[in-house]
Amino acid sequence: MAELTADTVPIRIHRRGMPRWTMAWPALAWWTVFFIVPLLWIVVYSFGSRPGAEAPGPVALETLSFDNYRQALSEIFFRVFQITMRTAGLGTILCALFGFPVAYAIAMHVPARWRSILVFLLIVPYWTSFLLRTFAWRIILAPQGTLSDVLQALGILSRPLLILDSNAAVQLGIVYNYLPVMILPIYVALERIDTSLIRASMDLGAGPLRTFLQVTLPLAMPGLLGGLVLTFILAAGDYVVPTILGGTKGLMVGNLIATQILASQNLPLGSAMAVMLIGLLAGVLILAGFVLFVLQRLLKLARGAPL
Amino acid sequence: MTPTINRQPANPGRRLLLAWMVAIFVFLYLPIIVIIIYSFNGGRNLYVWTEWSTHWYGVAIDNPRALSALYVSIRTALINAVIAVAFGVFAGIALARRKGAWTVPYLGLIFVILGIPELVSAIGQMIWFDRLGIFDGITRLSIGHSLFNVAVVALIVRARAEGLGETLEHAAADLGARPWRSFIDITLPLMFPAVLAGLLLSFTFSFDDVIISLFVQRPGTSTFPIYILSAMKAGLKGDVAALAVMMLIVSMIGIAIAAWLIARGGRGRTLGGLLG
Amino acid sequence: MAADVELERVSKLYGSFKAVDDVTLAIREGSFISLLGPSGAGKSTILRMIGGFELPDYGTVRIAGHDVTMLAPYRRDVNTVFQNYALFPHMNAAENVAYGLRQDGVPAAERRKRVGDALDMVEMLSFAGRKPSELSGGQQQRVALARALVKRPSVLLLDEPLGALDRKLRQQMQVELKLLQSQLGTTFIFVTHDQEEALAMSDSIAVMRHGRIEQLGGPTELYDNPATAFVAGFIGTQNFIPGHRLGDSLAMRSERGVVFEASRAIRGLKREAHVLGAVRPENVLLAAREPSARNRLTAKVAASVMLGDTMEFVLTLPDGRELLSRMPRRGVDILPEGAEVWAYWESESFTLFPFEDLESRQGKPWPN
Repeated sequence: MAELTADTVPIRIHRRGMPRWTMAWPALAWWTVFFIVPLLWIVVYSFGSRPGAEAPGPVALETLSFDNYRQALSEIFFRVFQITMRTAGLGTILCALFGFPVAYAIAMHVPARWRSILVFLLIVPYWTSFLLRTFAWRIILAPQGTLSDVLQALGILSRPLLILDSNAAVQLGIVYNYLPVMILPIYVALERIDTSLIRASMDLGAGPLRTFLQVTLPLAMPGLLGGLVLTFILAAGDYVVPTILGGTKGLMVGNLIATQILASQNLPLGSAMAVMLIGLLAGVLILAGFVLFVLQRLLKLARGAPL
Repeated sequence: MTPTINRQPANPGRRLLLAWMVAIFVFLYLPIIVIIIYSFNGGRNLYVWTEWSTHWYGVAIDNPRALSALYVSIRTALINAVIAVAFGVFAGIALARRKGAWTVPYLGLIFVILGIPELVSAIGQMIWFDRLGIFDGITRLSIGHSLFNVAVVALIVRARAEGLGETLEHAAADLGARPWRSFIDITLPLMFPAVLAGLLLSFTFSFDDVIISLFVQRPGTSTFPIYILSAMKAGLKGDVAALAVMMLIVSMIGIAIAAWLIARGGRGRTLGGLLG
Repeated sequence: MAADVELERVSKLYGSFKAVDDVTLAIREGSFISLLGPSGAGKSTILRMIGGFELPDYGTVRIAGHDVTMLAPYRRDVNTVFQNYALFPHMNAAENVAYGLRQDGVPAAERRKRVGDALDMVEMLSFAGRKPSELSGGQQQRVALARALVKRPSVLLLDEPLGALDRKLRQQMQVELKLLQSQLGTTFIFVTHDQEEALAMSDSIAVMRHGRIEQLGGPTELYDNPATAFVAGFIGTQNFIPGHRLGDSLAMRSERGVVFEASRAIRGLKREAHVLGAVRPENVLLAAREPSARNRLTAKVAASVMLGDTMEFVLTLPDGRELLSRMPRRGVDILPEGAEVWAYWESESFTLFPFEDLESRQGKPWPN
């Protein structure tokens, strides 16, 4: 057949008028004005300083410096940050451990018509005030409360339940609040897995455990990772749980920053802390991503070449 | 003779999993049950049980501060939902139907918006609203809540549009429909379940929001969660719990209606399809 | 009212992949033409370029003499029946069919009449109020057809519309479509990978492979006089025997050294060329004793396949290759497995093609 000769000219596609994605501009404009610009202002304010008593406005921007960052890097912030990372990290892991079986149960062992109802039931708690649900834990965990009485009667405790207003209570609250956040993405990923893949795996001789490790889990991995990242970020920035359940001991970065800004009226310092929070969170996530990448490579090496 | 019924083999692992699932559900609902029960606590303080009584329900309906906070929350949530859908639907359709070099960075921005701790976003908005001179409470709240929700709606609509594919719009064009006609007749109506889900989620997220409301609010316009927060510091009484229970019932009815509408409107879609 | 369709040196590229490679095709008005070929041949791409859903990278598309290459679908007098019907799920059957008329601004009364007539034509009038989700595959397909035809387009494009239907329904629809087309006189352009379907319905068939038209012709012509080994094997069934042409003659020597005689060699076949000799199973006869025909082989029966009205024998040749023989069942019985027979055919049934590495059923490696 004839080659494409020089005298056949390619059609130039004339696209007059708007670029194709104009529809997405309004949202982009909205986000730029009310999300990106504010973030930039936080950074700017973080270099400012607290204004004098007569000065208008919350920040003095005449002299810019790193003072706030130096202050933020102080002992307190770092200690609180460490606690926050630990609580958020542990909370994420616990949510994954507790939540994965639930997602698995709903996706794999519940008849199809019940699944939507169960997922619905999973989301329903979010329509009661998040605050009140967290506050309900004060009632449940109260030293004079029923649970405390029961535990003492059973001999598990020798004194009234003292978990409230401590880090443990915050940890519990974090796990409680973010379980559905972990369960949903895992469920979605698991539900999508074609059951015939699992049957094929068993048919080829892999037992239930091996099938799970080599077929189900890898396929559910995107959902699991999504859940882990989301839960961690939400937990790290949480304000409500430490405020309600933590008392003075359960301080996390969230209410530390809030206190600086709202109570102490130190907006520049709070801004600097916020910037540092973002930076540290990003750092932790990148580190986690790197570790995952390395693990994947090692796993491939361990398995050996395909043939 | 009736044939033997085949059940799934008694699998102990399966039983354990289901038992665990039930346990977790109980764990999730425990606080709610506690709230419902304690909303009937006749005593003065919420967490010291005295007697059964519907006293606080009466008080709740009468309490002007609580009701005004509720009103603020509802108004804000509605305005925010409208904003979210207005911007998000078009962004979502563009992401599905008008892909290009812009798509990946745009999605990146969406994920940053969804992922960033609300606290940081709230601080920024507080600074910016003050600088811009926007001091109306409801405006600040609606805008503040809407940022996150525009992103949520965009993703939901995108998932649905991707799932449905372009063929129907091709068919409309084939039959003579100009692009805007095909958009109005075909694209938008087919997005309805996603729009509905988006409205509901936006409303819920806004209604429940604490952090952004905390930073962005103006004196006089407090949202319901903020009212609860301040009430907690003053010593919670049963009326707050009563209000929460009433809100829960209303939301459940609302969701049930929406779910029924979706089931009627389109083919049954798994949650997976909706969430992408 | 029907129109000519012309494609002139049309090409479509995806990166470096040539989905459609310099295709020129003239389709006469009022004809029923099928674009036939394996998946990836480019047939659907051509259809989409005629419909306006893809822009060619090179070349021109003309309908009724007008250059429509750059026109949007809604500006062309062409309608399409899509592969999965593409019925609007939120409208019922009647609303689906009426949609195109609405876009044209047809007044309500006339619209109602035409919709009714169109649905009646496909025997779906009583289902007018049903939504697509309440219709079976075959019913949806009819509604899609009515929706496309109600606008009385000069060209109708059909993109493998019968693919999702079961065999019996498909055969029934083939007949109905053929009758409809002769009745309406519209130009039908039909894409399919099923050669039986194309043979049954079309006035002419364009057999495509790798983005090019390998042969264009009527069903009989393609069946009896295929231009290449690919077309010979794609249309109907074919036995292929690889070998080399003896000089300039119509004879060939198989790889085992057996000499066969053909009555036709493809024009341009070189002397001593590597060839595939082709004979159709229905022309391969069996005998118990050595026959006198020019082309004969010994073989063992591997299987006898009852195909209803014909009997097919799968034979194994001494070197392991397969040979198929097909005969009407009258007077023919199942042969026992392992029976030794002679297979023979006339040279009139044998053609020499330039060698091609086809993936055919008879593709067992030829041991040396």
